[in-house]
Amino acid sequence: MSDRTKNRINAAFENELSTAPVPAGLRALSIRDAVAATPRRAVQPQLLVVIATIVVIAVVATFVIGSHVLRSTPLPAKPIGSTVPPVPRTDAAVAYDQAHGSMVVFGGNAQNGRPATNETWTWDGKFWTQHHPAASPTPRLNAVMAYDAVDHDVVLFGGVENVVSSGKGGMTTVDDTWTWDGSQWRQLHPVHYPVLGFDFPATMQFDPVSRTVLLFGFTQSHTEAMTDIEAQTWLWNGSDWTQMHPSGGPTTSGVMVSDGEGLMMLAPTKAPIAGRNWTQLWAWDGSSWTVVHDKLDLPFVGGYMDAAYDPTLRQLVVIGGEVRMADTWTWDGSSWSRQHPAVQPFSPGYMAYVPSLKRVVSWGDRYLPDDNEMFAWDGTNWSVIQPGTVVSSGATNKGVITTRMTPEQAASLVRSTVKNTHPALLPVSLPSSGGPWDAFVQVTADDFNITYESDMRDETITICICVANPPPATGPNAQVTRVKFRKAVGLKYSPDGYAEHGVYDMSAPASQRYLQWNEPGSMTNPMSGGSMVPYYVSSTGLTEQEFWQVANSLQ
Amino acid sequence: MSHAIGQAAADREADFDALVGPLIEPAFKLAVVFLRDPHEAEDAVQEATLKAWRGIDRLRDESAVRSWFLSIVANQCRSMRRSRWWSVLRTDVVRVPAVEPAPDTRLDLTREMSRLPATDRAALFLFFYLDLPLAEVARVLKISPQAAKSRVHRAITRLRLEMVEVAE
Repeated sequence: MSDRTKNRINAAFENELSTAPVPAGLRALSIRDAVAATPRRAVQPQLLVVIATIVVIAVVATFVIGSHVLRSTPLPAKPIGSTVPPVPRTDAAVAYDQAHGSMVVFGGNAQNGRPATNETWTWDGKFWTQHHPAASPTPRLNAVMAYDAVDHDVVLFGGVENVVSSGKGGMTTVDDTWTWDGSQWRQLHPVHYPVLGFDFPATMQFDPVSRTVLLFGFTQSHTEAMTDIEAQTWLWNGSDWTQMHPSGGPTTSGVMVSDGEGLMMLAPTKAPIAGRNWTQLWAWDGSSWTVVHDKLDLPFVGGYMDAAYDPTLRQLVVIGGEVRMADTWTWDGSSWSRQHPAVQPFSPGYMAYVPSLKRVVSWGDRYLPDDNEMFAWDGTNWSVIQPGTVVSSGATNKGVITTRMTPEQAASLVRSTVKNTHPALLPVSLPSSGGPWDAFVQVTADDFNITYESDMRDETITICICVANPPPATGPNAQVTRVKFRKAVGLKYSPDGYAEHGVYDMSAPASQRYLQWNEPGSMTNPMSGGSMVPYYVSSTGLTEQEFWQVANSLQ
Repeated sequence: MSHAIGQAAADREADFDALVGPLIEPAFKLAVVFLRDPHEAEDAVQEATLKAWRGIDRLRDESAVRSWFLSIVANQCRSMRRSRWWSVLRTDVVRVPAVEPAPDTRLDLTREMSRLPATDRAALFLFFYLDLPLAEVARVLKISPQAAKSRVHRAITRLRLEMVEVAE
C-alpha cells in the first residue's frame, strides 16, 4: 500500500476532524444514559400473550375476509397500478419498453447495506405497477437493460448479486441474459456471452444502425489495483452475444444513449487533457468508437450522470455533476449548452424519453436512495410530474435546487458569519470572461470555503481558509515556486512574504493552479496557532494572468 | 436493598463502559465523517449507544464488538441522513453540507473528500484512518468485502490519487 496516499487521506481526515473535537463527557454521558434509560430484560410474558392474541385475530380475519373476496370477486388479470412510486433505489436497471409504453425498473438497492432486490416495476407515464412474474432474474445491482426494437422486448444482462457461502455474505457477478415481454421474464441461454466485472458499471442501448443491442463494459479485475481491467463491446442479436473489437474507445464507465439514428456514449476522461478533465461524447459507427468532437467536450461533470435523447426537441439531455449538485446540459448535435432551469433534480436520476408525454423524464436518484420523484424536462425547465414518498429532502423544495448564490450573496454570507477569524479575504474581481458566476459556500464562524463556477462550468475558482493538501505538482510540465505575496507569514519552508504557487501543466494556458500562504491575522482554530490564517486559492480554466487578477484583488 | 440495586446498576454501567466506552471516540469520528455535523454526530453516537445496550444480548463474540458497535453507529447515521430535511441546497442556512465546490478542481483533498458519498467517505475512514481490514469495513457498512474494496478504490479514483494496493 502507498503510505503517501494513506497519509494524505488521514491528514485530510485529521483536518476535517480537528474542527469537530470529541465532546468532553460524551463517553460517560452515552454509557450512563443508555444503561439508565432501558434496563435490559427479556420480553415480558404478558406482552407475548398480547402479541399472540393479535396474531390469532389477524389470521382468522384474513381467512374470513379472504375467502369472501375469493368467492365474490375474480382476481384481477394484471397488477393494478398506483401513483405511489417504488421506494427509492440505487443501482437499478432501467429501460423504456417501447412495445408496452412503460419504463421498466428492475433490481437495485433500496437501502445501503441491505441485500439487492429483484423487484420488477413499470411506469406507464402515470401509474406504477409492481409485477410478480413466475420467473425472474435473481436480486442484483447494476444489471444493464435496453429495449430491443427488433424483438420488441427488453433485454437484461448481468449485474452483481448477493451470495452466501459458508455463512458469509459476499457479492458475485452474474452473466445471464433475460428478456422482459411486458409481463414475464424469460431466461435465454446464448452460446456466447460477456464475462464482465461490474467493478465499473456497464451500459447498454439498442443500436438503430446495426439493429442489435450494444453493450459496453469492463472485465473483472484480477489485481488489487484494478489496473488490468479491459473495456469490452458486445452485440446482442436476439439469440447470441458477439464480441466486437473496436480500436480505441472510452476507458471509463459511461452512459450510452441513442438518438434514433446512431449510438453515442458519454464518458469522463480518465486523465486530464490540457491540464483539465472533461466528459467526452463518443459515437459508435458499427465497428469503432470515435470522439464526436474533441474540441467540444462537455466540461467534467463528475462520475455521476445519466442522459436521454429527446426526439421532439432534438436534443440530448444530460443531468450531471456531483451528488446533490447536478446541472442540466443539452447537446443539439453541434454544441453543449448548460441549461438554467428554475427547478433542477439535485442528483442524476434514471432517465428515459417517454413518447406518450413527449418528455424526457428522470426518476429518483441513481446514486443515493433518497428520492423517488418523477421529473419531466420541457426544454427549459424540469417539473415534478409525480411526487415522491420520501420526505428526506425537505418540505418546500424537496429534492430540488431552487436557488444558486451570487458572488455578492456569498460575500455577504461570509462577512456576516465568519466572526472568529480575521481577516476574511474575498476577491473583488472575477474574470469577466466566465460570468455570470455562481458561488457555492461552506462557512462557519471560524472559516469558509467558496467555489465560484463560471456559467459553462469551464472555469472555477476556489478560495478558502483551510490547510490545503493539493496533489503534488510533479508532472513533467509542473512547476511549484515561491512567490512574493502580500505579507505572508513565513514558515520553515518559506520565508516571510512568500507564498507557494503551483501550476500543474505549464504548457497548458488554462491549467489547474494554486496559491497557498499564511495571512497575518488571528483565528481561534488551533490549526493556525492563532496568529495567522491559512489561505488557499485554486483555479481551473483560468490563465496565469486571470489567476493573479483574482489573487491580487483579495481584500 | 437500594444500595444493592445501585451497586448492580453501577456494575452494569462499568461493564458496558469497559466494552463500548473505548469505541465512543472512533464512533464519534465515524459519525462526523458520515454526517459532517458534530452536533448530529453526538446525537448519533448517543442513540447508537442506547441501541447497543438494548441489543447487547445479540453480541455473541466480544472480540467483534468494534465492528458490531460501529455498524450500529453507521446505521444510525444513515437513518439520520435519510430523515433530515436540509439535504438540499438552501441559502437560508449557514452550514450547507450539500454545497460543495466545482467538479474539476482537484486541488484540496479535504474538500474533495467532502464531496464523496457518505458511505464512500466512511469506507475510506474505516480503512485508512481506523486501519480496519476490509472484512471489518464490510461488516461495519453491512456490505460485502468486495463491495468494500470497490468503494475504497472508487473513492481513491474519484480523488484522483494514485491507485493503492488494498490488502484484504
